[in-house]
Amino acid sequence: MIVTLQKPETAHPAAAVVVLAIVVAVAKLAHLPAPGVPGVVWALGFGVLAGHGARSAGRGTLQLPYEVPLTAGFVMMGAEVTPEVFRLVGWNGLLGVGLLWALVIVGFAVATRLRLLPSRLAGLFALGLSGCGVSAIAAVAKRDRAVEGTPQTVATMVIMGAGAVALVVYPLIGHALGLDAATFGTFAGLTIANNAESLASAGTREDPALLLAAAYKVVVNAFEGLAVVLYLWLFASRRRGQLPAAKLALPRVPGFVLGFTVVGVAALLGAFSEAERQAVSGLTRWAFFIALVGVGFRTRVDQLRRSIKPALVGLLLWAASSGLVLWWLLHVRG
Amino acid sequence: MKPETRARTLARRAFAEFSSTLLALALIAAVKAWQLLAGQAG
Repeated sequence: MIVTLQKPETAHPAAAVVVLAIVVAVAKLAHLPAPGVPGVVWALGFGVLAGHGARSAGRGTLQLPYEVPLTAGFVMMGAEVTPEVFRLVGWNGLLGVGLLWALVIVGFAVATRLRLLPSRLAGLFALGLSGCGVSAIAAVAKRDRAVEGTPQTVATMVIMGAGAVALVVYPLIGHALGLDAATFGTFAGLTIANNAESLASAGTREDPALLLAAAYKVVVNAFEGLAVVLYLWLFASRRRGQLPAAKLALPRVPGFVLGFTVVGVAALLGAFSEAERQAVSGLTRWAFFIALVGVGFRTRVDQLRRSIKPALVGLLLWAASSGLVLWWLLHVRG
Repeated sequence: MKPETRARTLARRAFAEFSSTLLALALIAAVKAWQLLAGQAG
């Protein structure tokens, strides 16, 4: 008997680009008549559907090239960092960002210690829920290959789930507690991870809720490079039997983080006019839209069924950290 | 490894690491050029 071993059929790179372009076009067309639904939902949704279709058609090896738009979008995001935004948020606001980060890092580190979550998944939750969102998770998944697949899928779905819950629940909380517009905008900007859901939630209230939420998102995004490095340092370097000193070794800073820093410093120094910033911001949104279609394409929702418990732990810790931030806003910051 | 091979490997790695940064900077430069032209035309 002759047995022939066949290599899995791999698609031509141009085919992957064409598929990505088609799915992006369809997702964008679907987004146009329903602008109220965040673009991230359309991008991920159509990506997931297309990926499922490709696997059903026996094209499971097809990989969409989303790394370049993702990291280029990350670099261009630096243009949104301006001195005005930092002035609007103030030192108190920066303290709030620091508090949220400390809460999610400590919360998820404790969950890892209690064996409720694997270290890397806890790190992805902490990174995403610190305000950096789905794009940061996709960016570190490209750097830390161990989280590609189920951990990335679970973390992405939890971030999306938390955003959807917040869109419904936050206005009710705001009404029940009688939050003024400024406190509500700060709360939404700080604790809702994805920009779109955060701004949509803040947009349910009068001025200055939306302005403050947008300012907090820019500030958190400005520190996204630092969050990526912290993830790689605190959560991705842990291996069994590793010496404590080795754990503390600083990771190599990814090229796109350096690029983001260069553009961010240029923006802080006033390199961009308002019109230029708006144009670059539009390109950034397009880059993330394309990237999230690619992320959705490789996302396997069926993997979630085996990860209900860690997903619930992630959601509960997000709710707890958001609750503590709200308590701080109401009782400490004043 | 020969020095020229090592240099080529390093150059390839550097390009892979910074290609998206270069693309982003090129797009930003294009935006700035576009705004400049639009400003002159206006």
